[in-house]
Order: sequence, then C-alpha cells, then structure tokens
Amino acid sequence: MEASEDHVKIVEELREAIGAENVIDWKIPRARRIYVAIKPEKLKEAVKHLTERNFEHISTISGVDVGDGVEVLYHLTRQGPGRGITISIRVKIPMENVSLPTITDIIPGATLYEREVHDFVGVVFVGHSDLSPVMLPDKWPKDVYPLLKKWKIEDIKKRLSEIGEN
Amino acid sequence: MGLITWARTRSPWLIHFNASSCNGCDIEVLAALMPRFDVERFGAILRGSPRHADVLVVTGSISMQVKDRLIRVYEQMPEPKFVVAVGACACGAGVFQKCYNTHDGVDKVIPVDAYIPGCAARPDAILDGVVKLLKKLGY
Repeated sequence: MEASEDHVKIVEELREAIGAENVIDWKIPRARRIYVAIKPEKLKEAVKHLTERNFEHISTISGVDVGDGVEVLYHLTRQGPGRGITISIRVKIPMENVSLPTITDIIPGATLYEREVHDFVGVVFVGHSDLSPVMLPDKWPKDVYPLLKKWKIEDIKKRLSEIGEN
Repeated sequence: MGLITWARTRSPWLIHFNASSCNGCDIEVLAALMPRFDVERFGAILRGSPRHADVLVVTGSISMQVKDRLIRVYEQMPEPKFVVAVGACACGAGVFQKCYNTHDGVDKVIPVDAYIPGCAARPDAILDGVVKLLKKLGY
C-alpha cells in the first residue's frame, strides 16, 4: 500500500491549523506513518487538532537526546475511520530549557508517558499534576537523568554510591 | 543424622521472589514444581509467605528499587534460611551487568547458598540445585 493522498491531506490540514510557518519539516516514509516536526509553542494546538480528527490514541511519548537539545516525539494513532495511521509529532527543545506544556488536559492517558520522559531525559512538563518517578527507584537522585548522553554510567554509579547504593 | 536435620532436609519449604525478572525463570521454577519434574517429592512446597519458608528462590536481576524489598523478605524468614539464585540474572546480573541501576547478582545483597545458571534456568537444573542444597544440609 502506497502512501496515499489522504496522508498528505492530514499533514496539509495540520499545516493549516497551526500555520505553515510552524511546521518545520514533515515526511511520509511509508504507508500509515507520518512524521511532522513542529515548533514547541504550537504543540498543544497540534495535538488538539489531531485528537479532533480521530487521532485519539497516544501510543507513547519518547524523548531522545540529540546533542544540543532533547527531541520529544508524540506518537498518535488514528482510531475509527482510516484507523492504524500513526502520526509522530516531533518537537525539539533546547538543553538550557527542557520544558514543554503538558498535554494531559487534552489526553489524560499521557500522564504516565510524560512522567517516564521526565524520569529518563528530564523534560519538565509544565502543568502536569505529579512528575514523581514512575520507572526509576524512589531514592533516585533528583538531578540525574540516565538517558541523557552527558550522564556516563560511571558518573551515575558514583552518584549512587554517595547515597549508599551500589 | 539427627532428628532436626532429618526434618529440615525433608521439608524445604520455598518462597519464590521475582526480583525484576523477565518471567522466563519464574515459569521454569513453576515447571520444576509441577508433576513432570516434581520438586515436591523432596518435600518442597511453595509457600505464600516468607514466614513459612526455609528457602528463598530468587529470580531476576536486583534493581535498586527491589533491593530493599528483597532484604525485607529475607529478614522475615525464620532461621535457618537458605537462598537459591535461579538464572543468569540472579547469579551475576546476566545481560544487565554494569547497568546504571542494577546490582551484579543476588550475592551482592544477601548471602546465597546455591547458584543455578541458565537463561532461562532449566527445570532439571533447578531440581539439581535444590538437591545440591539439600545435600549441603546433610540429606
């Protein structure tokens, strides 16, 4: 199955909704898979727009350390008509200020995913009700985000030995 | 053989503790308890509470979060108590070796009496480990 015109239409509608200048890049590598890179300020608008077009299921949120910043990907899957299409919204935020607005008021199920991304790469989701550790242990030091490249395993082990672990 | 040793070696009651295991070893532990391999013929029986158990069967690598819980379960067991590490992860962290969040084996946290290697450990290996532990106790 080839990437059909309705895939392009989904992107076009999104571009219209949040403004074409806010869409940095987009690609459709294969059928039922869309990537759209947008500016972080327009994240909530984009998510709201997509949920209104049956992209109601959030598969997961992933956070990636890309060197000079953190890229956060919101993988939304379409339910109902045309289901199975996954659109990944890519948002890049600078290392100096790793914060994003929460989307839990639009999709409540994103709570756990946002907590996980906060655990591992330290993105602060402004407006989230509780960003306490969900994957990491209770005693985990607050400023250590293990999946950031700057944290080497030896450094983490050293920090843990300071609090009497490992 | 004294009466106490006789009684002890013929009813080693087990408590099974899953310390962040992938469930592979847990299934094999259950297979060892089932009629095909049948640890029960040595008097072993799986108990639900550490207070009733003599042998702690640990599977999986020891993460930072589970460490305190494991020690707590261990301390609830009455003396004399024995620990069996089942599988590569419990013996020496397996593929999780040197991860930022794991201890390299159960013996870094609590003393271990028998190691059963394998990923996952085979039920016959678990049976062999239990029998070796019983021999160590004077069966």
